[in-house]
Amino acid sequence: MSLTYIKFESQTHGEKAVRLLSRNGIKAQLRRNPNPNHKQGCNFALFVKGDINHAYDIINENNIHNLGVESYSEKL
Amino acid sequence: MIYLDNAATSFPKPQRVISAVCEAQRCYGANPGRGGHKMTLQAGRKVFSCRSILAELFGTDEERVIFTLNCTYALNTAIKGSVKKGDHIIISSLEHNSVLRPVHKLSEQGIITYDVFKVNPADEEETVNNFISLINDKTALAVCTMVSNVFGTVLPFERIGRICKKNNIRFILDGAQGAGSHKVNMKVMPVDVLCLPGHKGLLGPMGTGIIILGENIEVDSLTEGGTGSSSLSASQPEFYPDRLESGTPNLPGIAGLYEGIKFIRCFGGEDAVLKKEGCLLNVLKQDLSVIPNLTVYDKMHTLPTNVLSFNVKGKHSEEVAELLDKTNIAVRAGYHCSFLAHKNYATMESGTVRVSTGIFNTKKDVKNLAFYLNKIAMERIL
Repeated sequence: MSLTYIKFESQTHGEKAVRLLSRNGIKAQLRRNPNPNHKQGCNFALFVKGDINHAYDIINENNIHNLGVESYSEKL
Repeated sequence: MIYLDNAATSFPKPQRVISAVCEAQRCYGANPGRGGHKMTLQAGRKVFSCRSILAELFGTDEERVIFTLNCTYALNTAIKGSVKKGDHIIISSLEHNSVLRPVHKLSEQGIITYDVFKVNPADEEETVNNFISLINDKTALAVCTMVSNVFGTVLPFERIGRICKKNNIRFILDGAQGAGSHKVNMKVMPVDVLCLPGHKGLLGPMGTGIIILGENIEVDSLTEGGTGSSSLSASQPEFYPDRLESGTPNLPGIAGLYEGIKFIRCFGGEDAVLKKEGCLLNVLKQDLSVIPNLTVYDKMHTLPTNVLSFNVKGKHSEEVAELLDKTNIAVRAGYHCSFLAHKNYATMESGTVRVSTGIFNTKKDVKNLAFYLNKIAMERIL
């Protein structure tokens, strides 16, 4: 199963994004990134219910620091 | 006990603060921002809620709200993270040792030079001119207290901040005695960095300090370590708040602080707090004015405040405070960790007795203080 999410370096930035998206009528949930890469280490993943690209645009328009959109295939 | 030592720390705390501290410990006491399980995320959300309410209160973004151990730690970080070798710093003659000592240490290390401008509480123009006269081409930083912790003097910090802005000098405001009773909005006021204690006027628990960074202000870290972010890098993250927040934050304290700020809001905000605390102090001043053998430093006040110092002629301040303690009245005596204030306002010999009103004090409290003080001044209490 493939998961797509927006990555944040800290929970502060992620929570700020959750609140912003909620104000724009978009539901989102912040979790620990299930697939951190070996360069960045621990970070957070924002899972969006709906159009993730639209959510990403809103986050960037509001200058919330993030590490971009990433996809990850869960191994069962 | 009648508690009139709110400038040291506010007491009592609102019940909702105490409940929040207990709830954090009991229900979701995980390490915020460090893991992925439900409890750590809940803890992180609570920290964010407090960041958010502070950002709203002081006019900044959440990332620019930094939690520290206390106001002294906040000031040390802000001061030491703002200067480079050869810089010149200006501080006021009413600074607490939490400003004087880090600045003096930097000077002893040969990193900076500094000067102290004399505050004349009766003449704002003179105060401002004294500040201006010390600016030179190396001046990079000015640090100024909002309200004197010894005398309750409110400094003309907005004017000083504007002068700093004009001269490209970073301006750090020490809000230890003003936060919670005097409004500061970083969006409209010329303040670059605001340092605060959570446990005084903001009614939170001890062990909570805050740095509020203005827009585009960079402050280097005083300590480095785990932040729960960028874990595979040997370097400290450069983004805020993580850059200045290493180690496990004080989750129960932050949860309590959040409720303390909400309590102030429900009370009517800073203006309502100052109105109440200032009115109580005025009642006290009126009563003290008819007691013989007292020196009341009320000339240090030109604006509403919640701190007042006095001395009883022929007695050391510590002796007076001890006598008041015997009547179950808690005030602070001595030098209040403020060498500069006593040196500059002729109170080095016996320090001062300091009364600081709080949100829960009543008129009866200050009337009682005046009653017993009259007895002490007339030497009817041993």
